Amino acid sequence: MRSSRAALLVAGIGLVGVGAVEAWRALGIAQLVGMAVWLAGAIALHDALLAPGGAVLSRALERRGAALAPASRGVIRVGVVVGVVLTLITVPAVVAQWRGTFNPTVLTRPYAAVLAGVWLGLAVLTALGVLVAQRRSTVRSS
Amino acid sequence: MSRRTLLAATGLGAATAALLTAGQTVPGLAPLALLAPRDPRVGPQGIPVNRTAAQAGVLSTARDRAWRLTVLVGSAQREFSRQELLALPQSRSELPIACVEGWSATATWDGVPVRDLLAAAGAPDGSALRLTSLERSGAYRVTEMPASYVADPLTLVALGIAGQPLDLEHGYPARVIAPGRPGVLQTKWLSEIEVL
Repeated sequence: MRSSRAALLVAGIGLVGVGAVEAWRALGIAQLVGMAVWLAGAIALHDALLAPGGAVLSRALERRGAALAPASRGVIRVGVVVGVVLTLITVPAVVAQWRGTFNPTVLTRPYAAVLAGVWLGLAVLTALGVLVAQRRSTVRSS
Repeated sequence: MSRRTLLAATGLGAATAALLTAGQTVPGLAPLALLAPRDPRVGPQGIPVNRTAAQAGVLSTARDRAWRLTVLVGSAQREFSRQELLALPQSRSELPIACVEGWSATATWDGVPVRDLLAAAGAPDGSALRLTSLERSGAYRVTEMPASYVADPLTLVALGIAGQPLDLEHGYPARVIAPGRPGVLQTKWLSEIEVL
């Protein structure tokens, strides 16, 4: 275990090194600065928005869902995470479609409606998952 | 959150995101690409468009009957009208447009193999090329094509798609299509080929 972890660590650091050298060789200063801003933006987005949002949702779930079995709360968490991931992907398309495009072959789907359908489908699947998890936990505890 | 829940959430999140977007470039998954910006089947002649003729500013120049493809070999110059290009021996290539935006779509291209056109213009074998588009501006208005792509029999000056004349949005009157190059280098609205 310890040796495989060490091997993974070395391989990871090695790959980061290769990436850094290649980026330095292939990209200009402006592109490197742009990449740094983009990466910093991803960290800022995560720390300022996603992590606090996740903590608030999680706290609410622990309070409101106290009566639910732990497995059910897990199912709800998975459903919310999947929904948020798909929403993050789709929101730029919804905004761009609302602003309009000069190219009729881009943004070809009704993204807002698809996103609503995605959440509806996730709600149904999550509800089914919770039902199954609740039934299992009552069977186990009786 | 338990480790199992974390793994299930990230795994399912990544898997559904992939499933609902991968059809942009993976053949067969296109009907599922509900969240992708492109559908590789949607566009004139069933192929998406990266840069439109209006965006490139070629709406009048590309339709001009006086259009000629200029081939420069050293100080010699030859011009080909679309009719003259169509009169040369034609070839067919099944090749994808693989756009750096992240979509790809395969089409059946009809046209003149670039190496045959160069031979007709008297260029030496093993030449590299500089390609110029009618586009008014843009980072890829002038690009270069290494000799290995020029020599490939699949590399065409394409004049049509699957038996139909090339749509204006796909580069009418003539475009370049070569295997294994990013879409931005498949010059549309070709105006000049210079042998380097």
